[in-house]
Amino acid sequence: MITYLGLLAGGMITGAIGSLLGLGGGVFLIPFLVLAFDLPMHQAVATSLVAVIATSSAGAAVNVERRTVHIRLGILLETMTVLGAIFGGLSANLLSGAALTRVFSALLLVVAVLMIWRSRMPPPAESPAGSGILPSSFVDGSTGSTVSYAVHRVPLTMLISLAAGNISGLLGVGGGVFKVPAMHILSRVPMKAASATSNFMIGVTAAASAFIYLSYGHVNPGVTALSALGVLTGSFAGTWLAQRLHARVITWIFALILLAVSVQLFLRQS
Amino acid sequence: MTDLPSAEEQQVQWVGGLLRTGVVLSAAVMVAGIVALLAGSTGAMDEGLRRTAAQLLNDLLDPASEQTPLAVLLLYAGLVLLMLTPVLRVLTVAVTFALEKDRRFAFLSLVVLIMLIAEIVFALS
Repeated sequence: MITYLGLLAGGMITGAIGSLLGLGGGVFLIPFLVLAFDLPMHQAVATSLVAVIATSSAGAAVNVERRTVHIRLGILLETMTVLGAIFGGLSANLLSGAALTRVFSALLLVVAVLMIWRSRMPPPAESPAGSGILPSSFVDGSTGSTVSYAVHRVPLTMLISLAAGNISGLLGVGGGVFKVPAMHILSRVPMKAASATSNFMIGVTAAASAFIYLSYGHVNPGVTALSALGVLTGSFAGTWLAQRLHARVITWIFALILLAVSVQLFLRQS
Repeated sequence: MTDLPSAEEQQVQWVGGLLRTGVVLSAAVMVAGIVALLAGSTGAMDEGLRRTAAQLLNDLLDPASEQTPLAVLLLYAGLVLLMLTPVLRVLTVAVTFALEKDRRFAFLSLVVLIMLIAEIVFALS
């Protein structure tokens, strides 16, 4: 009973943190499952992929109805992320648990650095609707104004999506930490649309490799169901908190936590 | 006479509705599985939870084999429903683009769907 409650609570906390930082639960859920429950790395990755599907689908339902998702851009990039995720999922099952854990700890390091870098970067100029391709628009809920934009440098963003999909399939994270900056900085998609479109895509990306993990017997039904339900619940709380807390302070705190967890995971496998 | 929704509005309704239904339904089945898990005996549950999806499939196809506890069946069913939700979302998007006569994006959606289906078939074979 305590194990079940621990999994549920852990899922809720990691889901809330991930949602608060716009990262998704996987980056925090996997270290939690490995360090606190001694779960084998492949099972932790499989659990995270299912949790990503849950939060992505729930968030996308809301964002699609708010018209912030660029569905055409999402489908275009999904041709790359799904391909990357399939190869990521297949290659992950060729690696040992120790090797996978080391690669994951390296990813945490990269994510921590990216979080700090993003918090210090000035916002890029957003493209007017007259330039670029795939024009779209949405009503910004916070200002009530209509934001029109078009997409730039699509081939480069597709390449990054391929890599992000591969990382997602390999390590069980959503990949949004790479897709959102690619869309926002390279393709000059407004942040809200980039975040919503990334969230729309990561469920499909995760599903692409989740079935591979299922076929290898890495989906523990009890652990996965409890964690997924916990992360789903926690992500709603995280969204609520995000509106009330100062972004930069939170980003720095959790970047430091990720650095510490990265080192701990790496040392565990040495 | 009521105005028909635009193609874009229809896409938003169908995609949003499917995603919401998928999450709620799969969560309900998983919760039912967890309730059954808590209500069952610890030994049987622990043994049942160690059964992989492949063993579960074998149990379902072979009536003579050892039967998987209901709780585990429900948990796997909820998880597979959740995993299929994004796949069905891609199908829905493909259909709505086809109805909108946007052949380019209907085709791209189909490409994504075919990759997903091929991967699922390969994984389960």
